[in-house]
Amino acid sequence: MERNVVYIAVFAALIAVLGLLPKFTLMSGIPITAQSLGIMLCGTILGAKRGALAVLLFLALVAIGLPLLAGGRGGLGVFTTPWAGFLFGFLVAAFVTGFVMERTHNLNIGVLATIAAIIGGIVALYAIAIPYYMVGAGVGLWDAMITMSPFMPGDLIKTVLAGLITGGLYRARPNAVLSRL
Amino acid sequence: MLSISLVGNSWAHRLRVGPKMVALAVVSVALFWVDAWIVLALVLCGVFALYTSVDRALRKGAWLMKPILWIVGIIWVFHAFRGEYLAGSVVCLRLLVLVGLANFVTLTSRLSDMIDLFLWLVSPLALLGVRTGAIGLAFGMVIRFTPVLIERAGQLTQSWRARGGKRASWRIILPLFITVVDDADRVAEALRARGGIQ
Repeated sequence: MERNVVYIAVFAALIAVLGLLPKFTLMSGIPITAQSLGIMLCGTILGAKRGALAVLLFLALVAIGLPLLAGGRGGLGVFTTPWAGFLFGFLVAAFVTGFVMERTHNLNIGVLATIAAIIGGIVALYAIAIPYYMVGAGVGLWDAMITMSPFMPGDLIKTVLAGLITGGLYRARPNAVLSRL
Repeated sequence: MLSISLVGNSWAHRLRVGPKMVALAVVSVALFWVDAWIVLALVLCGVFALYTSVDRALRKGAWLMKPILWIVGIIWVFHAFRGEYLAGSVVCLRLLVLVGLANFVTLTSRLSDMIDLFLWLVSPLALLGVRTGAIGLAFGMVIRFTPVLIERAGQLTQSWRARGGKRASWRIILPLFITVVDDADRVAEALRARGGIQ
């Protein structure tokens, strides 16, 4: 019980810290942050339920006014934009990523983490973020996909990093990867 | 760790958080039925007036709005591209009002009041068997841990550079995670030793 609560809390803090790491700029010139990498890692390392709870905790702290989103943003205002679908999608993304991790056993953990991050952190995330944006911004599917397409190459890179980091953590501290216990 | 909210004692600060949140929710929902751009523009002027009535709110509010202006601009361009100038303007005006109002509530509410409100909102979960004491504890831990982890990420970045790496980028994430799970295990042990989470 104590261990679960502390892990959920420190992972919520890690999501915030990853959002503050210096941005790396892709060839397309779009700056990307590691915040959504943090969401994927919550799923791959903590598993479905705990991963989603860590994200929920993070979002609750953003909502009450802590500047934890990438770029030092936060507050209630970030939940009222058409991009807020990503914030709500983060919850589902972490859950789905963790669910895939927990239900698959016969794969190398790094490879599995990358696959889980693609299913949760990209497919599930955009399945929420795109319709949300379409309704919020009043645009069609095609327009929404064009608007979001600059972020997708970065997201693919992040799924590979999620695999490498999860695999590395599993080698160094097998007991810390709660999704595999 | 600094909150986004402004320290102050304006009329908006003196209002209680609960009624402010209810008002925000009611206005936000009501706005979805308003399609007349002139009404939305007037409401936006009203929001602007709210900001000018509170010391320093305008500057901080403008800073919070900066990324939103990008979003609004992109949405408007996509609408304009299809000739839907009016529909695009309505969506953008409504968005500016919604974000402006929500940020105004955040700016004029103390973090501790927000935490109290949140814990009050989740307190009924205790009836379902959720240990709500853990939620307050987790809030405190995140607020305490975040600056510590930011500092540690900074130290790891410096160590990486000192050993000849140019930019640390993602390579410090794994060492960061290893040290953090070690800390988490020790904190959990310390909590258990002191009687655990009620």
